[in-house]
Amino acid sequence: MKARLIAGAAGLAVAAVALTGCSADGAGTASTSPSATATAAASRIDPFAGMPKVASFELTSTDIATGKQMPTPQRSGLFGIPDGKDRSPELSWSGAPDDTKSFVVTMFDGDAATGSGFWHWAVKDIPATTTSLPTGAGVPNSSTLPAGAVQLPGDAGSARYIGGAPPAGDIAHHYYVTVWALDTDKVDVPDTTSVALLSNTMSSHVLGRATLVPVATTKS
Amino acid sequence: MTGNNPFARLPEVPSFTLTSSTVTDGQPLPIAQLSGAFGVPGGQDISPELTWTGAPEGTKSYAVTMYDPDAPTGSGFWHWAVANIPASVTSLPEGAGDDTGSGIPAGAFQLPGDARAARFIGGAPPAGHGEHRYFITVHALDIEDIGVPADGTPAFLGFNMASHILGRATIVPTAEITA
Repeated sequence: MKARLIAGAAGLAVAAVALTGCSADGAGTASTSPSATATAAASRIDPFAGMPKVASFELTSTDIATGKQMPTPQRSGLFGIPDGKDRSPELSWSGAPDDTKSFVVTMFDGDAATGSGFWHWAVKDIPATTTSLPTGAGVPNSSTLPAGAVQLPGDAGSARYIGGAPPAGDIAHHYYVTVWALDTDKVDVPDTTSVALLSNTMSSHVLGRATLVPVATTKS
Repeated sequence: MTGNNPFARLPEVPSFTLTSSTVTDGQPLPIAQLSGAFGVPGGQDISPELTWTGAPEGTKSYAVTMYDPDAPTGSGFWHWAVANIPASVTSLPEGAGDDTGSGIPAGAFQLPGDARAARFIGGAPPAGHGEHRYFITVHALDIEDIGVPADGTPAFLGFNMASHILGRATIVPTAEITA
């Protein structure tokens, strides 16, 4: 699994290098200031477009903030970002709907040039009693995730947190870090399922969600 | 035709001609192209016939994908992805995307989509969720091998393709299941 991820990461890094050389075809022509206020509508893909409209609740982090540059440890060394540690951010939430029975936590890049964004992280079946995750909870086979919680493989194919890794010179990427409050104890999908299928399955069980949207750019 | 544009972050490139004897742009998918695997009555998960012409000079391979940007997932839904189709190929027969890839040309392969099956999965919009669009796209690429592992995600394929796309031809049939 590790070897496969590394091989995949190497492939992406090569592609990223190639991308920086073709800004004339649109990959790098649009500009979004990293200091601009980030909103849910700021990325090229609105990740909530097809999802139910639900109540929000409070989400804070000691590592990341909406509209602020993602710190280096939360970026991806595996995908070639210097000093990136692929370390998931600390998250604390409160005020979720009373009937919440479990949480799902995801991170999605709505600006990745893939046609479908890029899933960086997904954790399902977090018990309703949990209201925080420590920094680095998203390592493989994590011991700091609550009992019962399961990480699913994201678009890099590995069941762990993958940090932000926008191609050098590309526009600012928006990373939607979302806590989903669900009305069910478990989302009944296999541990190897795609995050899209997780989302599709849980979409009728969402009571609320809370989101932080840090941004990231990589200098060319 | 509202919602996300799957090509918003991809290079603008010339189009070429894509036709199908199975599906029609702007028209509902035939029942055989809906998904029995995902519980649509009568759905058979049979991939559509596709024929293309006029791809840009310099095309060295093609990829074929089907993507639903309207799925309630946050990231749409990849129904089909075929990589490394040789440049000499200009059509896929109906049903090419079955379990064994019986109609997939030599050298090409199917990637697992969001259902994690390396085959065509038909349209399956949730009942009452409105009309979904299915972008069936032939991507003309300037490279023979797009460099994705056999179990790579279509998003990974999409990322690798972004810097190699010479042209793109798309047919967008629809599907809706009333509540």
